[in-house]
Amino acid sequence: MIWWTHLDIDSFFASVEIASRPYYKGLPLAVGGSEHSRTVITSASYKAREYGIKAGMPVYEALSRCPHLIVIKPDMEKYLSISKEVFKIVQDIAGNVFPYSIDECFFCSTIKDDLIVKSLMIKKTIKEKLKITASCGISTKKIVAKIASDENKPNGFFVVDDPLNYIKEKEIEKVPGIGRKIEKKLKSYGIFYVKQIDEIPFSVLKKLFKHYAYFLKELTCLKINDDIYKRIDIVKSVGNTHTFSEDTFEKEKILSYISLISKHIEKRLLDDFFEGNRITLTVRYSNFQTFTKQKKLERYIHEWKDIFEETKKIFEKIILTLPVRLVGISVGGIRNRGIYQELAFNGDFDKRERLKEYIEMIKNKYGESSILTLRDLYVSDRKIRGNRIIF
Amino acid sequence: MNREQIFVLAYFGKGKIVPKTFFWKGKTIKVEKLTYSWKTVDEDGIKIHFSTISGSFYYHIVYSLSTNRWYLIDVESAIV
Repeated sequence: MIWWTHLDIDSFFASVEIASRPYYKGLPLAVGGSEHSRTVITSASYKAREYGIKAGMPVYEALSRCPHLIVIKPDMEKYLSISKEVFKIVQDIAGNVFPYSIDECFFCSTIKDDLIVKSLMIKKTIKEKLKITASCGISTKKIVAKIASDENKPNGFFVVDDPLNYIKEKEIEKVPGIGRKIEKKLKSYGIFYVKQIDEIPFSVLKKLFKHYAYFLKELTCLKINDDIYKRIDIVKSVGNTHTFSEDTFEKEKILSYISLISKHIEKRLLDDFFEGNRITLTVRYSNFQTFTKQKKLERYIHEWKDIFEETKKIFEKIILTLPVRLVGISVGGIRNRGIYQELAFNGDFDKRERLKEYIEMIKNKYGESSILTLRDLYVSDRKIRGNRIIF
Repeated sequence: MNREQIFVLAYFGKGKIVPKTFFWKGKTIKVEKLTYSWKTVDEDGIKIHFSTISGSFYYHIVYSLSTNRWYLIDVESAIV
């Protein structure tokens, strides 16, 4: 039998900042953008959590709950570096590490006591070397180990010997994989604990939750495949979003940012030799109501002009009912470019490629805003959030 | 992040780099506490970052392994 440890760094970004700036210890601290940038909190210290501040909350809301909250700008390079250090410690001590996110990983052993000793040693080493604490959950199932790591946080340590009974007694919102919508739906049917799902016949469950019913049923008997907690390093889509400094109704302004986001996506697609055939436009209204519109294309694209034109077609079909807070584009159906590259028989293609090459050279030499299209003149804030590949 | 080149007296040995004193704006600043360090890699090579406290200020300094130069990245008050 394989025993799993789920290791989770306690309020990772905030803890790293407190370790760097020990004079903030014991004070409410959060990592996020400035109050005026309309960004959200990415991590909050345990003291800040006492004021109800949590990740995902807009910075202005966090500041209204706790006016003396210390907000520190995120330094992703720093967090990535510390994350690597954590995984290295786990690898050195346990010999196997399965990173799950920037601050979470799994490791395993066939001997329970061996895993407990190694987990305690890892916790101690992380605290000594990196001055941050980690919580561990141990069980024979990854999903149970993940839930158990949340017990007694921060600096928690919890071993679950009977995973089936443990999960059955859990509240549904504590189960990873049950999102807010499913939680709301389950609660509307009077289901608050995992064990209650077991009482519903599968045919009813399937009617109510469609394909999700399989996950819910597997949960009650713990037949969930541990592979679902494997980090999949296959790129499925590449996307970016932009939050406007002020909510807007102006279609031209929104289109300007769609154009800018398209350029960012093109750059990332070109860097990784990707192309995609599915466009998803995300729009968030001022009241945080968010919706997406998707379009499957008949061909694969990677150029900003194509991404922009296709997104524009989707956008123009939308009737805006409220001012827009955020707009985002994602290119999905990703595949590697190269062998599928269209053959450049016509002169226009060659000219276009050369022009693009020269534009890139100018931008590299004189900066991103040295050469702009007319539409770019609408764009005042050129920062695009989410400069990462979405897995 | 803005960065300003600075001169640093540091200890190099036993696989460690420990900044001891640095000179900035005509002042000599003694590193009283080295609170944190981490490593980043970019197109210019490996950089080692240090969070330090001197007096009532916090300093974020960085050492570039490829150019052997030190930079000051950030200064803030360490008084809360």
